[in-house]
Amino acid sequence: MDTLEKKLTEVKAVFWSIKLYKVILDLLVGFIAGAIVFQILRFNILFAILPAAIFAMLELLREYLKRDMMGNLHGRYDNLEERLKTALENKDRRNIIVSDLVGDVSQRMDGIETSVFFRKRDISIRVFAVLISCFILLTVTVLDLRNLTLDSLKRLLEDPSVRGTLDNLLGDGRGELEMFMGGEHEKSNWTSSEEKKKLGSEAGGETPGYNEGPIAGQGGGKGYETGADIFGDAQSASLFGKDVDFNLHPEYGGDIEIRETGGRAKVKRFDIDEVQSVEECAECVVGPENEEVVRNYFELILPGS
Amino acid sequence: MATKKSGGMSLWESVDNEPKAEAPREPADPEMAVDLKKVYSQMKSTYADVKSEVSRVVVGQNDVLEQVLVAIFTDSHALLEGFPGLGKTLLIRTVSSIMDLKFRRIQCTPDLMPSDVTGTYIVEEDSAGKKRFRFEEGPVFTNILLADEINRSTPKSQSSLLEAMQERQVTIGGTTHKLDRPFFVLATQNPLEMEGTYPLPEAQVDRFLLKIMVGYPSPAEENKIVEMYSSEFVPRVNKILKREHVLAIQDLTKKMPIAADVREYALRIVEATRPTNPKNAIANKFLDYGASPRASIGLVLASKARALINGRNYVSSDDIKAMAHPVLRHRIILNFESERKGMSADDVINQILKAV
Repeated sequence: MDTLEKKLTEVKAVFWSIKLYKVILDLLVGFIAGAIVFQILRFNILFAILPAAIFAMLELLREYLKRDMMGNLHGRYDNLEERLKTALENKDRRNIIVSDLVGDVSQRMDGIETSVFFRKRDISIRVFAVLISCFILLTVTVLDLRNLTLDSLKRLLEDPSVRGTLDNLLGDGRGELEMFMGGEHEKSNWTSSEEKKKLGSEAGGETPGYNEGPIAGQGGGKGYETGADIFGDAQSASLFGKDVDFNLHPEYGGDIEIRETGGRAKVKRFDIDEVQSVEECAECVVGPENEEVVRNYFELILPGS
Repeated sequence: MATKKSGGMSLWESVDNEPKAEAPREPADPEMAVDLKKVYSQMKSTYADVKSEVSRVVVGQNDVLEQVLVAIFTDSHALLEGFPGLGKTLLIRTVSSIMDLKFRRIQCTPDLMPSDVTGTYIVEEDSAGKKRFRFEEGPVFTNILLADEINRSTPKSQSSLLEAMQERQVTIGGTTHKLDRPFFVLATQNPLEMEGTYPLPEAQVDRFLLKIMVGYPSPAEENKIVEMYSSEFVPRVNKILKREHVLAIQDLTKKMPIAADVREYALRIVEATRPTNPKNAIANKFLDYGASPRASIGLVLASKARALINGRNYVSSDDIKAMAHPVLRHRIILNFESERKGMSADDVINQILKAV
């Protein structure tokens, strides 16, 4: 065996030992992953060696077919691939250029660092996968997932120590955990009609934080700045800087849509004939003191006024 | 000059039925004449020296110089094409000057006769008053032949170069005269003024290993050219390559090893120029005819020479890529589609290089 082939054999040995290491790691990952599945399915985990071995064999075959030793060298060592191939294919020729090339390649191969074949990322990922899958396998084995049911999970959550921990994790714990577990608190909040009346925009919300308007206890719409738009919440509007209470009667004019855009009002589906003054409509809340203001407003926004 | 000295010859001696081949006058084995190892080890510096000497006269054109040297070191011929005034003739003259070789020039014109190229028999009277025919060698009996504006000579005169270029011999009057080694034809032509020209036949173009395109210099180079040639400057170059050196380098070129992969890459490129193969989409789309196996030989040989002059001991795929244009551009024939699209042979070769 000549010098060149001897050096090539050495490099190949390093290359294949690193590949083998990678395949062994793959085998481990495959075995542990299989063991986790087998453990859950209540099989003997030793059977997991079979799919792992098949996977490792296929991986080894793939590496063998790929044989990218030259590819690994190419990126790091400029044109060594072409030099090496040329030298190997022509080593039997006797001329000064070939002799020079063989010597040159042998010298370059001495300088090859084994790290060129060692892909740090690939190996790191595999080692990490082995660690994680080991942890999962241990967890699965200790927890005995075969007996894990929804009831057992519930019992676990009701355990005072677990519950305390979860409460701490979820803030003050008021409601959230009970809600999760379907407790009494949830029922009293959302099914009591007594409480419901006091919530939301209709009632103004006695319970702090529930759709309360800027003026506490005055309703959800009360106190909002409505500008020139009489629509806010249905109960009030600000016309010419004066707050006016309204009662809307859909039976008189159907829906009223008045929106002011760019200083001009657009009136849709609104018939002035349907509007009645306080004298004609005893039910209307707009009192005589506000009648003029309301009239001025509608005169202002009417088309052609 | 050819070493054949045909000397005096009687008329009937010259009309023998069978051509008489003279004994080959091969030079001594170059490996014996010069130390090949030394020539090889100095190859890179030799090329640097050649560039340095040429740059005294010709500014820029490094690629052109490299390709001319590739043609010379592969014992082949080159055709230089470019607009007038770009220094084609000057470059060839300068390259000839730095080599200790015989150099002759033919200025091709429509009235150039084949005998003006190859030589002819002339009647000569000896001291005894007897008239004899004597062969007067033409300019083809040299080492470097510059055929300037070759497309201006008639096809008949152009053809007179064919045998000399391919066989390295000239047959006149039934006698074959071997040409001296090395022998290479460096021809020039310009793409303008096509009126009154005779485009080289395909068979003859194929005999040129390379078709070298000479382009315009860069502004900085042109500035230097103007500075040099508008002063009292008289360019002089030294002879740095002896005939034996040139022969030794030609020998080394053939010894240059090449990997099978790289050789196959060259073959794939040449194959991709052939529209006869339905798989060659680019060739089918843009070419009428592809390159011949002579192109494959030329591409590998030129790549070997390029590797050698750059001081390498192997041929890389970069050499193949670099030599693909000069080797192939005159060997492929564009079809109507490529002409319609205004594509040149180089554009098609670029596409082929990308695809292969």
